Amino acid sequence: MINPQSMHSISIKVNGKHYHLTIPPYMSLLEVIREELHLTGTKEGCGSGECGACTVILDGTPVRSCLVLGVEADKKEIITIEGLRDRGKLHPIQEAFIEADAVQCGFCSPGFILAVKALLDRNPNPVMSEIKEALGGHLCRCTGYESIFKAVKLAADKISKRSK
Amino acid sequence: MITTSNEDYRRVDALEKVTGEAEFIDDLQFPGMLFAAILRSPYAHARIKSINIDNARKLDGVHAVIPGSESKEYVINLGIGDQHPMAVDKVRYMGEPVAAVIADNRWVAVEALDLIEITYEILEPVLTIKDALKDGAPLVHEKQGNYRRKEGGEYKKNSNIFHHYKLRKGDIERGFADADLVIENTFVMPHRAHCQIEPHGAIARWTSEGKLELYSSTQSPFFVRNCLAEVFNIKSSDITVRVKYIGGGFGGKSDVTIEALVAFIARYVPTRYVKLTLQREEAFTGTVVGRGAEIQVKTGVKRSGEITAEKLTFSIASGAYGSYSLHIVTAGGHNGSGPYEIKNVFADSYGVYTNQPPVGAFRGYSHPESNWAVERQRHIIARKLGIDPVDFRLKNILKPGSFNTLGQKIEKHHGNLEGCLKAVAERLNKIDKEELKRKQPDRYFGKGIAAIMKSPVMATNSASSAILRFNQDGSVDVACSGVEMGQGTKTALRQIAADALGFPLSEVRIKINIDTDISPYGWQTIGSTTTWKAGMAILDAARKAIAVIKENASLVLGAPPDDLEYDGERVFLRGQKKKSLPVKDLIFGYMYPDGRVVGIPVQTYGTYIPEGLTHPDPETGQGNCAAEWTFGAQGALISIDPVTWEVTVLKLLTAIDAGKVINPVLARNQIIGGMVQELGGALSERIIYSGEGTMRNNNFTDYKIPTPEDVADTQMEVIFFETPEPIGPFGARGIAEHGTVGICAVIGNALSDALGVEIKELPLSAETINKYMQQKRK
Amino acid sequence: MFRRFEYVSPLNLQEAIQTLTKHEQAVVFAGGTDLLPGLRLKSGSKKLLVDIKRCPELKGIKEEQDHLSIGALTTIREIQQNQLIKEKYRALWDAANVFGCLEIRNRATVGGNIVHASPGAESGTPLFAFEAEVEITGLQERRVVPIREFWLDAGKVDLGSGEIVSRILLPKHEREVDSRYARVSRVKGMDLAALGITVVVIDPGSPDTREIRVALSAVERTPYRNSEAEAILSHRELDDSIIAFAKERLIASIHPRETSLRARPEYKRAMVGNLLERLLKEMGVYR
Repeated sequence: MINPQSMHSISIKVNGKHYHLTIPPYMSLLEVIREELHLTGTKEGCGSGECGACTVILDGTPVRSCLVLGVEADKKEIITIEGLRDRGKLHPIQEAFIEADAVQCGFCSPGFILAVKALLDRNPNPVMSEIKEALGGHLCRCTGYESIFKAVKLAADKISKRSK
Repeated sequence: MITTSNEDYRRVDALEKVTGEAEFIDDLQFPGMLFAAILRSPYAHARIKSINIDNARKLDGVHAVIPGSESKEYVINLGIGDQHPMAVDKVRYMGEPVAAVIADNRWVAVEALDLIEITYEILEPVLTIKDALKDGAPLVHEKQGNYRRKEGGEYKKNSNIFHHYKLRKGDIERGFADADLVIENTFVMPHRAHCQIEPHGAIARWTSEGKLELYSSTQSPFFVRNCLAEVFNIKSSDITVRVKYIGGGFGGKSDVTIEALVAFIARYVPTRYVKLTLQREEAFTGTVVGRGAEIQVKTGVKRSGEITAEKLTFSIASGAYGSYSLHIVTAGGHNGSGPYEIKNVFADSYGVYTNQPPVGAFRGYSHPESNWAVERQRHIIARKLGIDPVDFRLKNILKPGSFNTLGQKIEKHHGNLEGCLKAVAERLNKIDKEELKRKQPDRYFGKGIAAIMKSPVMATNSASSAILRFNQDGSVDVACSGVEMGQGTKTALRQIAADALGFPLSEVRIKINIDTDISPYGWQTIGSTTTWKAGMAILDAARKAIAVIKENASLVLGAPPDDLEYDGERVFLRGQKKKSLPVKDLIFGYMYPDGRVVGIPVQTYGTYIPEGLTHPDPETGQGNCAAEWTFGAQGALISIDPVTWEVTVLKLLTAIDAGKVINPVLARNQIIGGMVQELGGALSERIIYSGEGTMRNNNFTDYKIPTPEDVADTQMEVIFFETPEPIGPFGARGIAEHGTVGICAVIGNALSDALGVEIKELPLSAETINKYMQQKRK
Repeated sequence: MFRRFEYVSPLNLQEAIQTLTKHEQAVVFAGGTDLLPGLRLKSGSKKLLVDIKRCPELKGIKEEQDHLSIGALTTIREIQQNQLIKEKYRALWDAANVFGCLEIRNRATVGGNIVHASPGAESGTPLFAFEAEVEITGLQERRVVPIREFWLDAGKVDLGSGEIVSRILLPKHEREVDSRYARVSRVKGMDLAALGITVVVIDPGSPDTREIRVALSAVERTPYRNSEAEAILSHRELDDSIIAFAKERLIASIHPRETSLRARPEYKRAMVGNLLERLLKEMGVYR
């Protein structure tokens, strides 16, 4: 069904692991992650880059994986929600989302958490305007966002305490 | 009584959700699974002249192409049998399924859709209530009389009215005669989309013995099972429905949505799993939408502020199929005049067919709709009378001893509405608008308040149940009805189980997933009823479990069970703590050192069904239709940019009588989530149809729900009152939808306060405000 | 999911142009934030996506003799982070700040934003008001066209087959320049502009020589300027009656679409005037 001539080989590093895959060009990075690697923590909410549920970190930068092609990720490094734990231990952002009750249905949570990770990686002590910028394109229909803002601040506190 | 350590308020599902482990429908994969794609009508109203599937069938990788006409024998009947799994001879809304493809993968499936040829004869669409009710209006359903109907209710032959509910209390003419002032207004609330971030999905497989296995993102696994059993004329026990986590429901995944469709098409590839995950655009056009109400309110008041009469016409543009809004229409009539004691009420509510996606449940279920009208009306009347809007409400609200519109007597235990209203008023009064104006002289500021109430609208036999199963390590597993969709009910229910058994939370595990083959029965996860009803079922099961544990102990201790005490850890003889047995040793019966066992294993089943509910009386519309009420009040402080008319919400608050707060963190966040969801409806959300009836903004690009930045500067406050509800677990009552109920009205009232304009349409967008301000200046 | 397409990623501009020339179904693929959503649901012939992101010629922001050169692949995020743009071309920086959302800004390119010729494109009015030029590279030649001539109609630009927008050239200011961009949107977070406005003030301190340019988005089929309104505002002290006159002429000259999903024409007309006034005040040229 899939014309073999149009398959592409890619090498990607996902959550620290190397993968060599052969994929069709029209497969989004999101589909590669979910359907080829079976890392289903990354979610599709809209497929058009409007909701943020599919956000992953690509070479240090948060992107909408539904609007990146798998072939474009060749030779790049990707972090998904499954890659946040360090040897089983929760990342401080994950802890903060639990403690601040920033999760309800949980469908948008992986995208939010990765957006926050990218933010705190580049700026461990963000001010409110920077938090707003980092979350501006993420939709959550359950929480009303208050608890998510709290979680971001809590995560920043946790990280700064740890680095001391 | 209920557990209170801070640690314990954490959600049972949070860990799985922050790590990406939580499984949702689209995460499921099965060997040999096939993929479906749906061809949907581009027209709102058209006759299907022909369907040619020959070319689509020939495409490599295609397993089946199914024209909608083949679903003719199958009827979905959730009240009115007006729908098939797919469109048969005509399409009644844009997005209605007309054909389906099942293929090896999604890419082939959608390519095959391109090859299906359909010819339509376009018919004039009906897109508003007004147009639908005109003489000679095109009929969405030509033969209403042929449909099988499950319950009473009136419909009008040869019209688009499929349901009429009337409520009659007192003498309306006399009520108006007694009034000093009669005020009449019409308020509208457009169709809205639920926008669960997870689009709907389902996976179906028919076994070779003709049984159906279905995975779905449904809020209502047992309801879906019963519905499909009727559609396919098989036993409901021949259907298994399984539900994992669902990514937001809000009513838009209740009743049935895509399940009948997926189950129907899966019949063409027996034994194979068939998956359909909706694209975002399909979640907008191919499921249900919400709201879509037009409400006329005519109120008679005395100069003193006493309301003497209220006449309401509550109509819903229900879309193409009626069952999903049947009870919304009825409840709109029940609740139309809000939490007030009015002697003379005359309400008519209508369900009206239109060529739009069907209207279904949406968080609040007719209460936000009627609240928008009636609480704006209260504000307008108070301003006309020159009475403080809070005093005006307090004069008329339901109090212990009052009778509501349904004729139910209000008792103290129904909750402290007066306290809630005063609490919100007090907080709003403390805000000094002049002070705010001094700091930002170029902006307008406004405050608004509304009283709220909601009852669960549910079947009179909506049962819940729970199973407690004890493990050898002394812990307990809880299974109960209710789907976890983010509302946190499983966390609260686990607390209830722990408390009822006297167990530490660490020894209580609750099952999240539902499997209708083995899970305890529950009607639907709707109406803010799960913590209440499943909680009661858990209490029942816990009582039974403790009784069995005591009986086991009595065999060992040689004393009648009535003389034994149970404290969660041990069972002992009353007054003689030393003569005791650990509970852990009693849960599989008791084993003596020589291996002899007495007693029985502890595994209990608990149930709950609300007592005494009735259908409304056909003449008066009254009756015991609401099992419980939750009352409250909401308020807002807003500021407005005078250049763009953009609204910034500075404060949103809710005071609510929760009966008993089981989990303060989750309860607060449920209310906040509800407030912000409805804030979208207040400020920006509206489904836009073209003149031909196509939905023009079926995506997040142009259907705008609140973003983090919209509420980043909003202070949220939730105040709980706790007047115990006698029929609730530990006194708790439903609160999950209630945050939504008054938000449109409080923003509308705040705009009136700030700008002196009375806006009666939604959303209250900058654009709408600009329109009213331009009219005002003329 | 996308409908099926083919993909190539040439290593330099010439290779990219050759590929585009050879294949009828070839389309340029840069950030993809506009292109890819359009490849989801619509049926149609199978396309060839020519990913130009590996072409070094299209990258970087450089100061050159007469202009600031912005490579077509420059992301909106890079615009947002460029200090020179923030200081000298403030309106463009303003627009970059409200463009989509962070993840979109990380991918969307300035070249992509102008070639899609969306009437409401965020970067459209600043580039228009700064009188940017578009450098277009084809198989044989390289040409430079003023941006106002580049946009032909909504969704239509002056780009022949095999041609690629390679750079955007912002003229260097000979005099002092201040500028601002403002917009209205339906929500405060990620949204498209229902209406955008850029005001550029040249020589803000001296009313006699002062030149004021006003560019609007989402009111006509392409970004829009009105010479009459600009003439009314330029070369004089601004008072209430001048502002009122300029607003009146500007508003009378526009034809916002009745069917816009983002705002009704009446609201757009009201906002054109209100935002113009607000921006002039913000820049201190009118009190």
